[in-house]
Amino acid sequence: MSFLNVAGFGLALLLPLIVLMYLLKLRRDERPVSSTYLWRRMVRDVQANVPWQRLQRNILLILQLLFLGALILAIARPASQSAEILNQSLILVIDTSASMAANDVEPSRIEKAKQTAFDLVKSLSSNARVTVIAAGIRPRTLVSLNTDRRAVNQAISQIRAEPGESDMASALQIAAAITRRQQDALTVMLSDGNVEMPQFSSLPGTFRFVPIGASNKNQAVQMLSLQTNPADLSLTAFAQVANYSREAVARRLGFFADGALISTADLDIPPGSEQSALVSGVISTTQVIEARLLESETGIDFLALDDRAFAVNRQTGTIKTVLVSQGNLFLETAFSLIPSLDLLVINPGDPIDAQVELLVFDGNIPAGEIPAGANILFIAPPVSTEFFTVTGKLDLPIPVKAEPVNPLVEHVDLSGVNILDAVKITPPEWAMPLIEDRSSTPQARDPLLFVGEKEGRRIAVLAFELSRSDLPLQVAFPILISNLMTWLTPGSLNLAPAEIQPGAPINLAGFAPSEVAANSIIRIIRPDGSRVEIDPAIHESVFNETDQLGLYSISTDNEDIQQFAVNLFSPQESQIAPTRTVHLTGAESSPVEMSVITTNREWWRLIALLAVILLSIEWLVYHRATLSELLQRLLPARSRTGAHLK
Amino acid sequence: MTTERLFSESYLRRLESLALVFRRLAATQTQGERRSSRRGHSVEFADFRPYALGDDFRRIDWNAYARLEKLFVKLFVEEQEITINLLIDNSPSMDWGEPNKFEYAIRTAASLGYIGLVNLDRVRVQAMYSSGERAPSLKPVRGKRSALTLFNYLQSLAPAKPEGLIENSVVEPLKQDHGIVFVFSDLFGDHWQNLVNRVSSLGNAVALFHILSPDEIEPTLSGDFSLVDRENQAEVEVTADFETLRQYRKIFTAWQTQWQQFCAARDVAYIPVTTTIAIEELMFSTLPTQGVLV
Repeated sequence: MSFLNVAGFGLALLLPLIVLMYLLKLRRDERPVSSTYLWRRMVRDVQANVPWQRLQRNILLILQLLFLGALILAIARPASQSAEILNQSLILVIDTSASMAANDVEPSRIEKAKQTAFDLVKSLSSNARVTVIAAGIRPRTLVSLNTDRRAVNQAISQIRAEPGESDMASALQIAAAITRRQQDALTVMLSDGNVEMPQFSSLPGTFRFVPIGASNKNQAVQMLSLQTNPADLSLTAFAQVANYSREAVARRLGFFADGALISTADLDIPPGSEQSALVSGVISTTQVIEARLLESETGIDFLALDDRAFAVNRQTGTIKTVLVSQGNLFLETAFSLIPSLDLLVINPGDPIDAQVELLVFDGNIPAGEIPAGANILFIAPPVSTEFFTVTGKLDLPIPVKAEPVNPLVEHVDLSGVNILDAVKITPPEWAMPLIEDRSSTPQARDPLLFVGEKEGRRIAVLAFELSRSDLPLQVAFPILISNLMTWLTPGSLNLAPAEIQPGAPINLAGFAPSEVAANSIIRIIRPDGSRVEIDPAIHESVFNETDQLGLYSISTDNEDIQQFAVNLFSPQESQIAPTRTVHLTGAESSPVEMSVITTNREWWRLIALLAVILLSIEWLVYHRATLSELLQRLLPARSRTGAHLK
Repeated sequence: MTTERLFSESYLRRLESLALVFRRLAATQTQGERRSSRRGHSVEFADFRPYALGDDFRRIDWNAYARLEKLFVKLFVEEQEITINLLIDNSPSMDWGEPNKFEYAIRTAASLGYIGLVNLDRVRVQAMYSSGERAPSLKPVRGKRSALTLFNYLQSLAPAKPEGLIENSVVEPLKQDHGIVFVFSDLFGDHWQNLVNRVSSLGNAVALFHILSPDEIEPTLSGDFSLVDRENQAEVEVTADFETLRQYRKIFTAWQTQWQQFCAARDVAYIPVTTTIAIEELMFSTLPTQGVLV
């Protein structure tokens, strides 16, 4: 039992006042009578019941004191802590961020939160409506304003900790949207408090924060990066381990190259700081480097999710590229920015290596046999070749993107590009124009850049010399070259980023096959072994089921496997120290703190009712003489009528 | 104050038709016009009785002797002159009520005294309380012409200080003047039983008029009061509610019953009177049925 308005007891000062007034009032009205002879006799008679008589004499005082006491008690708002929730609507916002996977409480924070949620739902009145919001990377409303307890419990039991940060702001926005429609809503946030609270104006109804978690003991692989040594192409892995405990710990970090342990590092990490470890000389063919905190006796680590990190080596697989040119600084510079290109510059007429994968003819055409399978980029071909026909020359063409805009030139800004002249090429059937000359007739615009596939090769043709335009000076140039190179070397370049954040979407557009392989399907194997198949013809080529930590493999029918890693590099989540208080910037702007979820069952209504009853009794007692007289008059009247009726 | 003020002429005329009767009439030394149960010398024949030696032969009824040849003595109702004592409680408690108890007592006493005067009895008035040594009293008067004296005296009486009950000065004269004693009082006080006891033990015919006002019989109080006694200023705190009033009525009834039994045991006529009863009703209806008047 507690009192919500303790200040109300200040009114108790009125109690002595009543007694005082009573003492003053005790002087009774004097009423002269002929003689008190009979009255004295009567009082003598009544004296036999003295204690009661005394009490009766003061019964008004006692009643008044009781009334005031009850009133003061009601004003003090007594409340008993009740496990039962009296609200009509319960909104459970359950944090499903990575830190909730910590097992510092049995069996884990998320399980504890779920158990608490079950208990809360159980203690609700049967007609109360429940909303369950899982505040993960993307907040999800699992059930909304549902009175079906089985559905609610099922929804709660589905909740798992996700390996990312939680978007508590959005979750609470959803909660606020619901509470705005609900009277008497109770929003309960079950979280370890390692969340960013929103800054919105108000959350209607009652807000309670149930902190989950007990310990801050955690170490995390905070960073893992790979670098290629330019000299021998060997790899250097760099890892950083952070200690979030309040004690110094000694941990052993293991480096695994494609699953095999290659190195360990013993780290003594002071509380709240980081230690780095380095392993160099890893052979360049290594696909994946994993850094893993090994089991330790000294360091207690309650969160396992952040004990591993993966780095994918994307430096492998260089593409033999031959640039047939009399010397083009722009091109050579642009190519050098693409590390996977193994570039060889030869003069026109020089013999071409048969192993070449990509041929670039800058202002000339192949003199002899073109090696089979090699993709080709023509730049300002002077004469016709077996692939296309040169028909003339275009003066001052105005470059515009061909409709529909191809993704290869989507982000290439052509607005400031000026071209002195270009080769007029009649586009072959297989060609797909990317850039056209606007000054030519709209019906048959001359292509300035077109791509296409012929006889298993990918061919791109740029119709103007770079030196006869200002394109190389534009920002668009490296983008365009990179895009072209990517397209010309399929499966060989980094189509997918090596590493993304948990839950982040990954664009698989680069894997989207051209019309040649229209029926190919992109397959993704997730860290837990589950397979996801994406048909680019049907689905968006965006994969966002990256809510597991670890390595993902992407493969298509005709392409090599490519991998990317999802790592939890989140200090916010690795910092598992639970918070007891969260600050919700609401209308009151006061911190909302609640360690145990209880609702106050207030008793003032009952006590106020009691006060009213006491007041009524007091009134009756005060007027008892009048009332008895009334009664007396009434009763004979009734009996007379009764007799009359007989 | 004039007679007219106290009583109307018609009322007095009606009173003249009344006469006092008592089962027990005390004899007095002087003969009067009061019929007594004792046989004596008067002109009113009462009975015969056989002559016995020593009887006054003048009373032998010779006509009877002529018819019956036996000597009979004529017996006559002895006509006595008796004193009617009007003892009036003039304590302050009597000066109370609507109509006023004291006034009522005075009027009743005046009515009875007038009947006495009309019947040639001696009428004496004795107040019972006095602030002085002796209680005021009216020496016996006789005859109808003294009515004004009686009335004036009664009207001159006023309630006196409460503590001065002159018991001896009330009782002593009664030892000489045996006769009828009318006591008018509200009987508030424990001393009244003693007084009535003494008065009745002197061989007087006593009638006790217990005069009460309606609010003494049925108080109309409600609430908390401090009741102040008119006589001695004593206070009694009373919370007048239904229960209290019920209790009071119980006490009152017991008290009246007690007086009734007390008087019955001493052959005293106990006449409870409420001042709301019209004096005519009292004189012409209540008292004749009580055997006080004829």
